[in-house]
Amino acid sequence: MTALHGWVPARIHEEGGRLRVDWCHLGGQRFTDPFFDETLERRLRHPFAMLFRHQTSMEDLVARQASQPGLPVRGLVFHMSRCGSTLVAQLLAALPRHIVLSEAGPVDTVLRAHQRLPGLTDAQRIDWLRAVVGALGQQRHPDERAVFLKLDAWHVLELPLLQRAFPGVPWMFLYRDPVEVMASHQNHRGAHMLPGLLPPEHLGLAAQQLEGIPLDEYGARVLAAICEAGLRGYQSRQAPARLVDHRQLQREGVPLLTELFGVELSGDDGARLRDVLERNAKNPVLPFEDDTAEKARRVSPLARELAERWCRPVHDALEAARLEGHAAP
Amino acid sequence: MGLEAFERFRQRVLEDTALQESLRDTPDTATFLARAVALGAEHGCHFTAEDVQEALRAARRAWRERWI
Repeated sequence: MTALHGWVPARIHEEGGRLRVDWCHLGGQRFTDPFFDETLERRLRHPFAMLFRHQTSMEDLVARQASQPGLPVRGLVFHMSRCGSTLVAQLLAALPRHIVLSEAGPVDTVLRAHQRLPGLTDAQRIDWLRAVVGALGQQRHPDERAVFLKLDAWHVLELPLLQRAFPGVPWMFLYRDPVEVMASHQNHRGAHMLPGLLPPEHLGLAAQQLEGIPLDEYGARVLAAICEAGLRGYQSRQAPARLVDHRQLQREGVPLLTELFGVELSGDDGARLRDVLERNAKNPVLPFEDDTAEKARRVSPLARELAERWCRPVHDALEAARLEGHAAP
Repeated sequence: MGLEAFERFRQRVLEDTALQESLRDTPDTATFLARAVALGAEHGCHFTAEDVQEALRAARRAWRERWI
């Protein structure tokens, strides 16, 4: 397995009831793009990376983790989608000592593996998750010291499992005014906003309740379920945790990283972070623009009403819990 | 024929880090293709640049399909 130095699990897929791991040679390329897949796709433009990929079993990956555990995970970023989590990931990735896995496909595959492999235990998913993160979090540059996971929005539904997998690791849950989030999805709907990705029971719904449900209502209920999971997780937190409103990020984003994740700033770190704050996180060639008013103006009356009905109560509960203070558990 | 030879070469490359390094260290696709053909021939795997491109197209297709 030492031959896999510089290789990372790019994708995990199911084959005959077992998971197989596709490895891509990433060499020295850091995960600096807004999303994991973008870094991967960039690398796969080189014919070597596309043509020559190792494939192993999940068991091999787990065995590798025992001897090469990877750098420690220092923070988890959960979010309701379209609320600034990519900015947080980009701030963390701006510092060369961090490996930031932003919505990494292999992490998602393992977290949802029980949907494809009936009978899979939580303990097994935890082992696989640690192995995947360990392999993605191998030190490939001498400066690298820590790993951060920016998860997919729906992964907060698995917060208890993630806390068991990474005990004591601080985490945040980011949220935003639900009308603005609905407005963003109205333009370009996220995968979790379409029926099919998430099992209805994860959303507190019976399958028959989904029949004929309008897309916007489905989306609003998904957002509500995600926020409820974030709130529940915060109320029963096992590690330092913060609820973070989107509006805080521009001014308080950097102090948040130092206070919650223990990120220590030195040298030109401050300049690197300011540079990130001045850009559009998802498309860093563009400057940052506050689109709050634009989103509120553009949202359809129906989406606004659904956001108010399904998401406002939990949004307000998140705000209340946040404002109550950030006392450590 | 050529594609089979390339497949043998691919397996060989995956087991040989020196071969991997030679192929990785190529600035563009044309250089990569030329080097792959030359290294293949050195190892008794005779294929053409077009065979490699065909394998590359198939790999891209498989990558995209698995994603869906």
